[in-house]
Amino acid sequence: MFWKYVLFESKLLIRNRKLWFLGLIIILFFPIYFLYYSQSDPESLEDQKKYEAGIISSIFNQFPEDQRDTSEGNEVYDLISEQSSLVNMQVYYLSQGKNTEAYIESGLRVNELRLEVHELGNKGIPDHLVMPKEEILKEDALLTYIQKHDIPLQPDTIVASNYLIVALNTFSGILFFIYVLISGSEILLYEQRHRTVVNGFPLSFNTKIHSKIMIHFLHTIIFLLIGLLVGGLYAAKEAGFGDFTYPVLIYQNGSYEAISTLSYLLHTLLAIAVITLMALYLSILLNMIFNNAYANVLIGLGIFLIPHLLVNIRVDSQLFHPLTYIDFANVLSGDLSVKLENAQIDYWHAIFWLVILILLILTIITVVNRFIYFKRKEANE
Amino acid sequence: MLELKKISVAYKDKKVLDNLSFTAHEGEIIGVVAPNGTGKTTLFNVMANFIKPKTGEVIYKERHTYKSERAELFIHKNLSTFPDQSDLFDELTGMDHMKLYGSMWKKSTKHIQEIVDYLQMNDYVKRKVRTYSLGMRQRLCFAMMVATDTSIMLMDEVMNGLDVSNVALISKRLIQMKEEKKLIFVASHLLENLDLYADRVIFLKDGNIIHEQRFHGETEDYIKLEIEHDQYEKLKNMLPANHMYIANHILCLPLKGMNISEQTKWIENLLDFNEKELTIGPLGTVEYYEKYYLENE
Repeated sequence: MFWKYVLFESKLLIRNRKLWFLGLIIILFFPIYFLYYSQSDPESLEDQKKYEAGIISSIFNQFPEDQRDTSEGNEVYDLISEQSSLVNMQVYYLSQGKNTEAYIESGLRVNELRLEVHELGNKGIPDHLVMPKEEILKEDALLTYIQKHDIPLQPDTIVASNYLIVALNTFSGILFFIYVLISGSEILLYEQRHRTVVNGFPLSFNTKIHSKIMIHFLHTIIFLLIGLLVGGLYAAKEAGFGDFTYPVLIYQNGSYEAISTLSYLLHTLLAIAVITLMALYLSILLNMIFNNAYANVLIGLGIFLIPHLLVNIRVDSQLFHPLTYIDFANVLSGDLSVKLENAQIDYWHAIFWLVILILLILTIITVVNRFIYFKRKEANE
Repeated sequence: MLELKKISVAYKDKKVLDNLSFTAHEGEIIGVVAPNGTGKTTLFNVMANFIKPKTGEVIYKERHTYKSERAELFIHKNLSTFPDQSDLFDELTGMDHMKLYGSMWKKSTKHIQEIVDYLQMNDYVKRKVRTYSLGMRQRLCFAMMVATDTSIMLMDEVMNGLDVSNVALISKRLIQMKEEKKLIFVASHLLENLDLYADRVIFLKDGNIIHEQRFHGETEDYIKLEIEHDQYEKLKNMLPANHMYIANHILCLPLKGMNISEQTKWIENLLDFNEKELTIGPLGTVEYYEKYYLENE
């Protein structure tokens, strides 16, 4: 029965122009975004290192003389001096285009020194010139991965492998969440226009909603994969495939870990799948309560924004933190963990809580359905 | 097979069904007659549990009631309701609709082609429903019901918008379905048509069954004649006390209690007033309808 109903829902979906249009938007997003992205001029590694050398130079210029008279101040100064030398050597290695091993060794040593400076309390260094600890850990993880896997230092940022990460991160979060809310805005509502045809189906409510969720889920994921394929192939044609083993940093278990591009994309797709399910179950619930397609999008969006608003007005919103995990690119990068000052927020923590959210929504749906069933007195005519 | 026990439904202060009780058996076609807005659809909705009555219950096969969603599911596997033609999916074909209903209830679509052939839908059944005329849509709705093959069928306004030949076609199929031991409720405004296939016709008024007309067993015969009101006034004092003058135009004299010579005498007397047609037989659905709903107009 489930599959027969799925077949019927598929027929309706295939003939639904709104869903085709939404699918087309996803497919076009990836190649069109590449056109924009390929025009950008990303900072090269050499530029980054020159910038770092400039920062260190500023630290020297602004370092208070009296600090050098203290043993700690003197120690900090010596550590910064060594950093300066090593970073300038890195710039030299990059300009020569070889000696990767020396570049990495220097980089790892610079990171050690920076962490030591942090342990000494960054004495004498102006706050705006202090390199955050998270950044140091990220770079350390990245250099360690490059050293271990013997891969080039500088990836071409425009290639398909790198572009897909950027494009997926751009599309994820609130943009993707709104997309699914629009796609599911009439997931139950359309039945009102065909009430007498579908009302008496010998199907349980659960069978009905799970088949609808399945169809909408497949629709979203299939179009997303097609979009990624089209965007990826277009990027590859224009700039090359790139290297899918190149490291991408993610925040995991309280520290930063480098994983391959392919692994990052798979992590992202799993998160998208879970978020899609959550947004669709939320659509079912909002359809049941409000009977309005616009309410589905606006209220769904409002729920997502609650924790952000609470953070901005400095209200403790820990209870609402799982809602922010929808923006999983920030979860993966560790930025959300820093923003919400919660070291536990990493990828699997987010996935776990999103699954809990789905189960919670399902429970509410069951309760609301029972309430509607038993309160169905004289409501239908 | 299906029992309605003390069903009451009210919208605000208006009682639509008031303590209505009724039992229906397999192999019956039951006509439901009432003017618009007097509870036919509500009665069907209660039977299908689309509306919960304020009091009373619907009992299927003497023990199943709509006490839970699971119980509703069990009854719905054996009961189908007539879709409204405006609710059909315009973007799907007639065949899609029939296959949907066939697979939902009968779990098969093998019988669909026979229904299409019988209802002469071959020319258009594979076209999208948005191209259908009202009559085609109505035939499709009936075909969908046949495709369910359930033991109970609730058909509200089944003959709406159909031409004479299609009414005859569907009436014949209804009789065939009755022979297959199905219990079918039919609400229709084609009253004379109901007489062709219904075993019983129930008349709803003020939220309850005001009359139940049976077409089998002992029935009372009448001499029936259409006469003008002024002619009736002239005759009135001579007529037997148990005569009826329905809706100011049908005079009915019961034959029960008259011997042959009295019957002959009344027929001869009344022939003088006959302008249209004098008939002898039981009161039909039309006469009862006029009696209960048009009497005061």
